[in-house]
Amino acid sequence: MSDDRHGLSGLLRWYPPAWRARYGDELVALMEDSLDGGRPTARFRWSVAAAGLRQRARALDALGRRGLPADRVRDGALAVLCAWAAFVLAGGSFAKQAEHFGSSLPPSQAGLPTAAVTTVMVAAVVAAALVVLGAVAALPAFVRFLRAGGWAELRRPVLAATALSVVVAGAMVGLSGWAHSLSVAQRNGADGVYGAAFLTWAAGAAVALGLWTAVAVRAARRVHLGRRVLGLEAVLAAGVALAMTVMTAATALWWGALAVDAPWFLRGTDPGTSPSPIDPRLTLTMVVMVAATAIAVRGVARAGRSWSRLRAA
Amino acid sequence: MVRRSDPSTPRRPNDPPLLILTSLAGGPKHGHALAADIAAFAGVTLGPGALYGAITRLEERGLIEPLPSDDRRRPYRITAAGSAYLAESVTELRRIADVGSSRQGQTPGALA
Repeated sequence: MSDDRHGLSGLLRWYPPAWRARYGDELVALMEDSLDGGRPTARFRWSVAAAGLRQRARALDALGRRGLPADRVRDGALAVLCAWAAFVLAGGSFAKQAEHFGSSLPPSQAGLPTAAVTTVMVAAVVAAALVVLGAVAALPAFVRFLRAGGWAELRRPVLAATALSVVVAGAMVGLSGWAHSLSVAQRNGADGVYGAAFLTWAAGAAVALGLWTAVAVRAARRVHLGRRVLGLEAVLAAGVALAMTVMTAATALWWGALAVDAPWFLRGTDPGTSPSPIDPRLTLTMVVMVAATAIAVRGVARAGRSWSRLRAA
Repeated sequence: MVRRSDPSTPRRPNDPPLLILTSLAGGPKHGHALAADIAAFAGVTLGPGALYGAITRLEERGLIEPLPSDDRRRPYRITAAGSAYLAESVTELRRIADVGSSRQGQTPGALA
């Protein structure tokens, strides 16, 4: 029997529960044999974690294909919710990068990128409203779930998400106060300590958002939603996916316009210079937006197909 | 029956499922023995995550099966469907290799 000195069993948390139950012991035994008493490297841990996440993705995909039509509608809508959470992170990054872009352009060239940013903002508000509507529509079923003793299943993840959210909110107040004592340049990278603190806060906020999303998914999988509510959730999910598509296109348009007229703004160089408009942070933002939109569209397609079958049943 | 159009069944010599089937064609093995055998005959190092990801897919498709074991190191063996799939894959890879050989003026089958 292994004493699990290096916490190899902990790596199993990346895998879905059913997979862990079937293959978990075998995988830990293989990891022990592979390491031969040595300490696992970060690369080793990452490769196992990535394989676990792939198994989770496969499990989710299989769930979506195999379940009852009502379950597939719900899972399709939940895929959109998860994609929206990732999109919010990318949207926050875009909002930060697009700050003050108007000052880098003459008024004659600012029309298109300004319209693109306005489109992103309006679509974001619409999508957020649709997500809230979806939560409100599921609220009566959620209350019934809690009254039936469901709180015990959600207590731990809710407490974890709440605790982290409180820490993140407190840190935001502190960071805001700190930021007021700094110049614009210091706030945008010149002050390394502030930059590191901001990144840490952003990571915490991202994890908090992920935890709340996980709570929502866990709760939605346990409540019973009637046919009408499911139909409404599918329609709202389609609206969110459409808004995400619009925002992704508008962001690409903004990027293209800035790349042509003010590439120096994208790279933070002096006005009038011609650096490459391919900014790593903006590229990552765009990749997340496109991936999240693709997941959302796929979720909507799945929910739509299953909704048709549910109505026909 | 193995479907040729199945996208999850690529016919690459370094494809983990194909390497696992090739290894198990020589006899049942558990995870670590599989990894060691594959490293020896193919020079490919499969990490634990990749190895068990492939084992999962192969078992789901009925190409391999676990053997009873009291140990955590559970051995696997190739099934009849797995043998058929492996034979089909090897034939296809050999055909490609032969085409490559003949176009380079070598005798087909003389690569080894």
